[in-house]
Amino acid sequence: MKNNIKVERAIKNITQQQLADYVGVSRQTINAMELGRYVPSTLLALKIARCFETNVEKIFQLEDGD
Amino acid sequence: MLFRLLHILNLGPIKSELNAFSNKNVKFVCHYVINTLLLHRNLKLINMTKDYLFPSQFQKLGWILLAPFGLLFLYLCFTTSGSRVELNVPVFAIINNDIGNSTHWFTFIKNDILDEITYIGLIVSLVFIAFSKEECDDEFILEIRRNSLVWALLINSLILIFCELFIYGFVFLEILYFNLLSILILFIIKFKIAVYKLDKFDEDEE
Repeated sequence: MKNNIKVERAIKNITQQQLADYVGVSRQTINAMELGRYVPSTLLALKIARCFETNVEKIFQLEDGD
Repeated sequence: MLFRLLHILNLGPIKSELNAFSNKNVKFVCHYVINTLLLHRNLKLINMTKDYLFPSQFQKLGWILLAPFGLLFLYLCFTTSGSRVELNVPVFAIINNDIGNSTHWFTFIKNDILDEITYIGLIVSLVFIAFSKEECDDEFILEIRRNSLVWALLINSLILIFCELFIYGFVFLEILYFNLLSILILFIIKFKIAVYKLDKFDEDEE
């Protein structure tokens, strides 16, 4: 699964820490997601989408082979 | 190994009782147990808010407790039973069995309780360290925790198989004794390294 959290963050101009505080996880978790090392739970994905005021599919997309 | 254990525990009568069970009954009991466990697990999946972890302060308490009990453990390792301090007190035993003697059920005996205190202390402190929340505990840490636990179980089983194949005699019992703790120790090492790496090799944000 790929995501564009980093891009969305840049658009909204917020840091990893600010996003982490908003969705209630550690900054390391946000970083691991941006690097594609961690696939978030549905709950976390929905929270992130809410932070960027958009749909989950806009931020997280399936890749070939998923 | 199992037969040796049965012999040690003197469970001959129980074994013959088990044989008296018909196959059908055994099957029913097995199904009952399996289905109960499955139901239990499925209920867990619905209620995922419970994580069975201690509050994060317990971790510090665990490390503090580990120091005295770890030293006691080393003391027990490097001394023989004749040459060390003994704490002989009467204790209640569900089963008591010495080599060469018969087995006694539900009796009071006199026993040196230093090793019991050490083991219980070690287990409690290791459990506190292993199963307390991290300062920032989220779902990613939970996943690392789960992976580390599976890893520790697998490695521990491999070590056990290795010992089972190549180690014989009384040393084997001592290794089994240590094996009870090694699973927690392996888990703690793996988990702490994973969390440390997460902090250390974290890519700096721009």
